[in-house]
This record gives sequence, C-alpha cells and structure tokens, in this order.
Amino acid sequence: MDSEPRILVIIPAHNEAASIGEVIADIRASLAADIVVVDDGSSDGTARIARDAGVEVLQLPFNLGIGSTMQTGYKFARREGYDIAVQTDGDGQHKAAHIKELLAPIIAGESDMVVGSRYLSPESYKGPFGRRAGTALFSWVLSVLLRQRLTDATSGFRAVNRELIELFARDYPGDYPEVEALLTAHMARLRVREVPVAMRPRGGGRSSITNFHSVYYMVKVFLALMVVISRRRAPRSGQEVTPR
Amino acid sequence: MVNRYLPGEEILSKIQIIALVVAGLMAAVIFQLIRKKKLKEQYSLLWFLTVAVILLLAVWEPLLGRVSSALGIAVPSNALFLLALLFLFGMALHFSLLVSRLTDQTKMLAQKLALLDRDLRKEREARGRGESGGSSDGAG
Repeated sequence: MDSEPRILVIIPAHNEAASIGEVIADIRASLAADIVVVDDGSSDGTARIARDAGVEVLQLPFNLGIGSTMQTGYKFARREGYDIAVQTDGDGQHKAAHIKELLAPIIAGESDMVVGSRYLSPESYKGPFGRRAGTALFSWVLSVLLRQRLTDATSGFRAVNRELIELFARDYPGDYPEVEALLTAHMARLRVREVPVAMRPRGGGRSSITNFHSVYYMVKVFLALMVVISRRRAPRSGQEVTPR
Repeated sequence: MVNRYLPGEEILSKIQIIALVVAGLMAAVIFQLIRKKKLKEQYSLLWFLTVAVILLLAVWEPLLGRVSSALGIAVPSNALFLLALLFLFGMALHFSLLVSRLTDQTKMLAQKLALLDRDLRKEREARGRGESGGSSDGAG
C-alpha cells in the first residue's frame, strides 16, 4: 500500500439501540476510519441512531442473520474500494482501542487476516463456560487444520485486507460464520494471525448463541468445516496474484 | 373371485373406485390451484404425474404385482409403500433445494436493497443541500 490505507469499520447491529451510539463514539475516539453500521432488520431504531451519529448505514429490510449482515458490509467495502475492513460488534464487547493492533500486521503486509483473541490476553473477559469450551474446541480443530496455533476461532473482532474483502463479498458463511470464515481464508492460501485483545462482558443485547442453539451451532460448524475441506485448496501461487 | 384378472372383466373393485376418485380429486385440486394462479405450472407437472401413476395403478391392476415381483417384494402393497416413500423423499429434497435457492436470492436482494437504499438517501441529501438547504427528511 503506497498511500494511507482506506479503512472501513463494519458494525453489524441487530437491535443494539442501547449500545450503538457508544460503540461508534468509542471507534471514532481511537482511530480515523470510516464506519458503516449494517442494521439487520432492527425494530428499535438502531439505524436512526447510527444515521444521526453521522456514519454510513446499510439497512437490511428484514433479519438476515449475522453472516449475511457482515457480508453486506464487505460488499460495501468492495464497492467503495476500501483497503482494509475491520469487523466489530454492535454491543460494545470489543474495545476499539485494540483496532490499531488488528491493523498493524495487515498494514505491514505480514498478514491477510488478523483475529483479536481474548485468550492471548490475561486480563480479558473470557465469557461463560459453555462459550469458552466451544471456542476451545473449534480453536483446537482449526489449529490442526491450519497447522498453526489458534486460540479464539469464534472471535468476531477481526481485520482483513483487500483480498479477503473481495473474497468475503462474494462468499461469506450464513450463520455462525467466524470459524468457517477463518478456514475459507486458509483455503484461499491467505495468512491468518491472532493478536491479543481484551474484551468486555456484553453490554446491551444477547449473544447470538443461546444454550438452545449451541448443539445446532456445533453440528452446523463442523458440517461447514467438512464441506470447506472437501473443496480443493486454491493453487499455490507464489507471489503473483491471479487477476480477477 | 378367481376371474379378477380375466380380460374383459369391467367391474372395478371397491379400492379401484376409491383410487380413481382420489386421483380425480387430486387432479381437480391441482388444476384449480393453477387457475387461481396459486400454483405455478412448472411445479404442477410432478403432481399431475403422480395422479397419472395412481390412475394407471388403479386401472391396470396387475401392474403393481409385476413391479413388486420384479423388485423381489412379496406383498405388492409394500412395493407401493416403498415407491411412494422414495417419491415423497425425492419431492421433499426437491423443495429443500428450491427453498435454499430462494433463500439465497432473497439474501442477495436484501443486501442489494440495503446498498441502493443508502445510495438513494445520499443522493437525496446531496440534492436537498444543493437546492435550498431544506430539510432532508428521508422516508422513515
């Protein structure tokens, strides 16, 4: 990247009216980047609050789920020609101060995707037990598949470069996308890395993962992983990138 | 009771009559749904085919027996159940595929709409500012 990279922070939001304003202010206070709120069919005025705050708002006409909501942000990033996209949460779990650490390896060209891991950071909020166990399991599976140590495969606090913006704009998993997206990046022979971040307990809103859904979550993600693995990995291309 | 399979026998058994009536009703319902534009012709063809098969089995009684012995199934009705189950399984899978495709298309439409909606608002805002600096009340 020759000049300053153009950075877009994507905030998926479903009924986050209570926290979205603060999340936006938090991001603005910590870095100069454009912000887009993708409103996933909220009924509580999330989009209006975000618009009043002066950020870009993409308002989905009905609830599509987190994956398709994120993908809407990636489509916007691709169309508007952003170099880097950061994905964060609408409920204030992720601390915007860490975004710079997510960006550094990408700006330096050392990594294509950087994941903020709460398990590399000693003082971070780790989440409830079930969630921790699930994350540990998926992280272990992904560590084996990617042949590198991963600790927080379910973290939704990430930054990706232009190549992955293009990839995710075309193809992004539907529900519970985090684990699968990591593997998708790996299959495209892109470099993934984790950096330590601290996370807060959830502010407003609920996790998209409730006890009732956790079994479905497990089965769905493992099935998705098998499907991704069954596809062929992108050819090893050395330095050159195939033109699109 | 021995002459059931003899040619020229025109008396239909009770079950044959029931099958014919059911098939007729199915055909009528499907046709009516198409007329009211509730069912697309392309999806009705399979159901008409089903009706045709029921009619065939009802009218030509030995057919089922031949099919079942060809499949190595002792009781003809079991062959019927097996084939019906397989057919329904196929239909259900077919509809799952259709729903998946529709879900995908709906998703892409919704995403496109969100992007276009944003562009339209920008456009209106810009025009509002350019003309008179008047209020820029978008549609809620």
